[in-house]
Amino acid sequence: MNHSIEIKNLNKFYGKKQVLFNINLSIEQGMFGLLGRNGAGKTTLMKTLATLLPKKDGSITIYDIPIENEKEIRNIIGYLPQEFSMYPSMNILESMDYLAILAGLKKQEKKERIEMLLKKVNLMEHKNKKVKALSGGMKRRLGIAQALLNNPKVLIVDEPTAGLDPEERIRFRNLLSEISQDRIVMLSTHIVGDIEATCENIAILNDGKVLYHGTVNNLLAAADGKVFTKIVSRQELSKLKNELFITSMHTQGKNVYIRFIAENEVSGMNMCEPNIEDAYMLYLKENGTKLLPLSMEEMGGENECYFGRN
Amino acid sequence: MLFWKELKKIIFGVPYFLFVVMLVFVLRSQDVLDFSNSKITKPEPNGNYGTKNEEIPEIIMPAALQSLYAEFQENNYKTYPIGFIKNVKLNDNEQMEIAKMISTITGVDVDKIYTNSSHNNEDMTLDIKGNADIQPDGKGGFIISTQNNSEEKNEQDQQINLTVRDDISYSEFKNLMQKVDDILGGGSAYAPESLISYGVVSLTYEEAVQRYELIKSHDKMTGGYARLFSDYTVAMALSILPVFLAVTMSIKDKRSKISELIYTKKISGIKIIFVRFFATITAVMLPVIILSYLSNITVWSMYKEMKLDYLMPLKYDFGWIMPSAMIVIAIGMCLTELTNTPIAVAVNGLWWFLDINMGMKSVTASYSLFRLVPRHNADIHSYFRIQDFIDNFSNLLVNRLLFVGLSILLVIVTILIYEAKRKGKLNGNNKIREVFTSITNRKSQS
Repeated sequence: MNHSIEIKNLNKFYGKKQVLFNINLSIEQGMFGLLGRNGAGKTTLMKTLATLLPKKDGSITIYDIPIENEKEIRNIIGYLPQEFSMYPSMNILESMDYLAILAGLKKQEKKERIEMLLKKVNLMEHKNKKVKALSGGMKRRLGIAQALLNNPKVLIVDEPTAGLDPEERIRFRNLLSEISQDRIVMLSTHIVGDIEATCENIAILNDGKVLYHGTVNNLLAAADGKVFTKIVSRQELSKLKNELFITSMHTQGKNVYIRFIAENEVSGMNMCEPNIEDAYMLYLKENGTKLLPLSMEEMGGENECYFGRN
Repeated sequence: MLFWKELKKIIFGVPYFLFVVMLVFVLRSQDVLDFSNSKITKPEPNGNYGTKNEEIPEIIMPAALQSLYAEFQENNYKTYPIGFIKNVKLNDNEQMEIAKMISTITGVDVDKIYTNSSHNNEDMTLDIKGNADIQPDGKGGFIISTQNNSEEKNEQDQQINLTVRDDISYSEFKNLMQKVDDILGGGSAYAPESLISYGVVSLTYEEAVQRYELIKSHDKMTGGYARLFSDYTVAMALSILPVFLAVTMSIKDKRSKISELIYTKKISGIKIIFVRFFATITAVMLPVIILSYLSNITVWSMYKEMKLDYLMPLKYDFGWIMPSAMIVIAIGMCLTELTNTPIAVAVNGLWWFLDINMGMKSVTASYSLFRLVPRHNADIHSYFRIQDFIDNFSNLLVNRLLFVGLSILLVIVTILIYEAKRKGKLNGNNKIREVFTSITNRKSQS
């Protein structure tokens, strides 16, 4: 059996509007990151893999099972939607119990899996807490636990860290890494930090097209020697913002520490190791994506690719 | 397992609490939860045993004529053209046509009939002169007596004696009544098939005894009460209230944003929809069964020495009441799944309203094939009209089986819709939702 997801020449339309263009991907076991801006087509691709959307043409096989065989596909996948929710009046245990029945688990197996998974996601001591009383992070952990109920071969996780605080985000990434052994965990995100911390293989999706498909190392290598840092004054910054391709900046007293991508030398700049965010931005830029520089306030997030909205 | 989960989801919700409260309220208001003062006693000779309808021309013709003349004089005719009551007022030409019919039936000069009625078309002012005494007549009207009764005498002179001509046959009479019905636009009590309502005759002692014996043997004393309970339960509650439960249950996944999550689970559409359907039926029938027994138990002690059928409420609950609940729940599930809106409440509400009003003319007995609410509204005063029930039982059975079949068909359609939506198809139903939302928005704005 081929332990992978094979997507070949996939096209998808919403009415007459094409949203996925000739997608070709081969996804092996382990963590796989699907990176792209909002509206890039990540959720559409994830939903298509989760049998929630029909494809127009092309082929998809998951562990050698064609996607058209929904019943079998549903048996081997776990899915955590972007907006995970449960009946608010149910508590954690009831929710897991209900979804385990829907996942077709037998009585004994159900009991064991629920207990094991709640322990794994640190929700055992909150098992009697109502869903409506859970924090965003706890709800997301419950989401992962339910997606693992049927011990899936493929876990599809759509934008799992959006809206989580930094601590919860790190905890969640670690959890995903932990469970990615012996299965494919496909993670879509617009937050570069999620990919950097967890994935070895990634694809960059932009406007429904795959811009990059390969390892994180190869993506970083492409940015080698093109990323620089410099400390500039605030006055100087407003001028440089239009000249340089800045990927991040931090204030240091009256000055600003900037990180940017450049082909040519700028006086006083220091070359540095590219991170995945730099490499991602470079890739978008080189592929002709319109990227707009943002203000200091807009760049205030941690490891998030706020750059590049249009 | 899943069944209990779904049942719990319904039972512990606010809509279900309201359903039970409404059910109890409605049944209490119709006095069918306590029959302890309604004992059927064996008929005694020379008693009053109620009435029945029979097609006896000698009774029907004068009664129908009397009714027609009274309505003619008032120029106010009651009809039920599509089930609803409609008060028809005729123009002069049409009134003349009715007068001709009455003239043909009675032999009285048409002008005399017409003239005698014409003053009734105008508003009258009663001017009482002299010493007048006004007394209620005990029938909702009043009698005016004056010391000087010359005016009364005058009116009596003008009164005409209307009797059916001896030489007019019943078939001729029916033809004339058909013409009257046509002038009135149809749906009147003068339509030949409705004339039997004028054939009211008293039950004889022998008939009363026969009905009593039937209640003993066929109904085992408990059946009539169960029937009356079923009649009101279906008419006032189960033909409309369950749709609210079905809609809230079907829309709950969408509201809680877990539809997609459930779609990706292994469970089949057939299983989840059928389980939810049966869970809703169970939730609906639970209080009905309890109330039907609470109601029926009140009569058990009245017939201690007799052989009673303690399963009678259950038989009527499942045989009579449940098919109505099934079709209402199926409509609720199907339309909600299709549109993601509560439009089923409006559709079912309209059907219920039309059906109930169509039944107004024949509330006491109606078992037509497509009646959502079959009626058999008969109490102890008519010995539960047991013979009529037995005579029409096959019609009722076909009606109930039809609704069971239709409801299962609708559930199958619901499954197909569910499976299509699960695969991302049927997105066109968003348009239905948009239309519904815009309608409700407009209403709330106005």
